[in-house]
Amino acid sequence: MPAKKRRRSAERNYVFLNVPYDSAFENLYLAYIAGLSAFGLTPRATLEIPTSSRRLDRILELIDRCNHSIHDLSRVQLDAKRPRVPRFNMPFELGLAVARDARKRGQSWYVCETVSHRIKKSLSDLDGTDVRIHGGTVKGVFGALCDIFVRKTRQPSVLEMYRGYLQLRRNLSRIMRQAGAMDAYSARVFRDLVFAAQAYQLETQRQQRDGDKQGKVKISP
Amino acid sequence: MSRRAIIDTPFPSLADTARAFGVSVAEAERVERMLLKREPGRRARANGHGTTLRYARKKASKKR
Repeated sequence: MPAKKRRRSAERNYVFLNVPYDSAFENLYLAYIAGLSAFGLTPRATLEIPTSSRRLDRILELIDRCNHSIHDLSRVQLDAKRPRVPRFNMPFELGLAVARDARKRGQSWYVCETVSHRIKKSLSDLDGTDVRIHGGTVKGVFGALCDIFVRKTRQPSVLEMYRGYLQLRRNLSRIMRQAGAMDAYSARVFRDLVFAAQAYQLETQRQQRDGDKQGKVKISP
Repeated sequence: MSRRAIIDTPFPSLADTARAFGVSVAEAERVERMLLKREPGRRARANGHGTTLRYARKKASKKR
């Protein structure tokens, strides 16, 4: 495949991941990364963007480059820390993605939530839109991703995604240590998690190709 | 949005993903190597094994 065509094909795999960045959401954050990687997609997030005055432009640019976007509107409550305000970033970025889709067809956006029917009150403008409810569980996230994405050649199973998730979970502390990060929500940790999830998928596929019918992956925890 | 997304593109390589994040492929390979490499375990003796009375008896019985 020529380099340009390959690059365009790779960009079609980008998924803008719009999720809350808090410690209570860490498991689901890892689940999204592992699940999307199992589908052969590359998660992208605003975590990659350094804080600066040009931040909004960079967010728009990032959304523009992604073919799909997933918006998790699970955090509608007030922040536990003072000042106690709700986080508007996620609905705001959802609005940007919707506007982008309306202006220039081609990008698909999906909304996920923890609690069913809550969005009818928190964001009634989305009435008539399918909202995937994951119930705040890792398996729920995988179920939502299986509902959203269909891979033409090989559909990953929830078990495969779960194995990828466990792999990330086991390596998270090592990745954070190497990055000198205090939590999983830094640019480098996010990037390394995506690399790790993808390397795991590629290794799994290689082993399956080599005829490992038991499906055991030799990557160490 | 309710329609499903059909993915027909090939799995991206690590090089593709490294390019997406604007870093060199070596960065992605570093993470890959980290996954493949088992963390060195401590030696059994340093870990406390091999010094218990039970283990010493077992070892002694094997020598006989």
